[in-house]
Amino acid sequence: MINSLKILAFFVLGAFLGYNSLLPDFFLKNDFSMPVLYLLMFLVGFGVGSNKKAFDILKMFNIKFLLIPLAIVTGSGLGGFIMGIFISEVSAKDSMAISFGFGYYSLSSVIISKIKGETLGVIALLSNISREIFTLVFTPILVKIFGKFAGIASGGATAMDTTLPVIKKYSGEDMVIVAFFSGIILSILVPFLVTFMITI
Amino acid sequence: MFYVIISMIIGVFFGFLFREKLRIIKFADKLSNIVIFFLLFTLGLSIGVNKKIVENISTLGLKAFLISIGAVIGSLILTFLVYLVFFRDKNSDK
Repeated sequence: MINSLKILAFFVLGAFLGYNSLLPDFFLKNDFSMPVLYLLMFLVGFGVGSNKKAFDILKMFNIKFLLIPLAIVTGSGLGGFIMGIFISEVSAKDSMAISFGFGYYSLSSVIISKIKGETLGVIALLSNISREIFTLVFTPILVKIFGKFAGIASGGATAMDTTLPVIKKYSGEDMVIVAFFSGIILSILVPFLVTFMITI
Repeated sequence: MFYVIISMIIGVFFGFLFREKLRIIKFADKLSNIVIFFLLFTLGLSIGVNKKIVENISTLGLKAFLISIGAVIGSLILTFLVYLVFFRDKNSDK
């Protein structure tokens, strides 16, 4: 959570400096964010590959448990698509791409802004941040209505880190492994699904 | 954007290779935080410069919120169905 706030602070600081033209042209004229994005992707992959816990959990690769991230992918895609039909200036396809961020806002917003421009990038950022915040706030209620997978479903990719404590508290200790499993799978899928959705 | 995926796959490979090297893993974790800060900072910059986006931020925020609500509700409903069909019986047998 602290990390999320730090990330947001950097974003806001950047926006503030940019808006008030307080930054040397050097920063605006040189776009190093593309190579940096590749570096980030490398490091995200490195994190997954070197995470022994993640490996052990992925080894319990069980068709039945796989249904949970599958339902989240399908549900997010459908929900995003339907909303996209009604939202002006955002196509249903782009809306779907944004919902495939599954709350992983740093990655999805950067990828989307690089390919589709900053406007959609900002929507992706705000949308996926609100998914995380929504989960942190509403998991206690959602669990009562939608059962013990609710926090995992709502949290998406964040179920493996930032929203895991809330899920643990309201869905029970036995859901921690499931949350982690689903969160890892969704996190890995984010770059694939987002890139696919905005480039087709 | 092909390179985005390739970079990640190469990362997984190297991560697996270095999975016993705690210092490297710690360093990679720190570095990825710095990289995320940097990328979000530059995203902020390019948005701040774009006055059109800043002036429309509340409209964009509303759109963003609607998309996330759609995604969350869709996920909740389908996951609930999965729960009812595949997981509930096992629990009620207890």
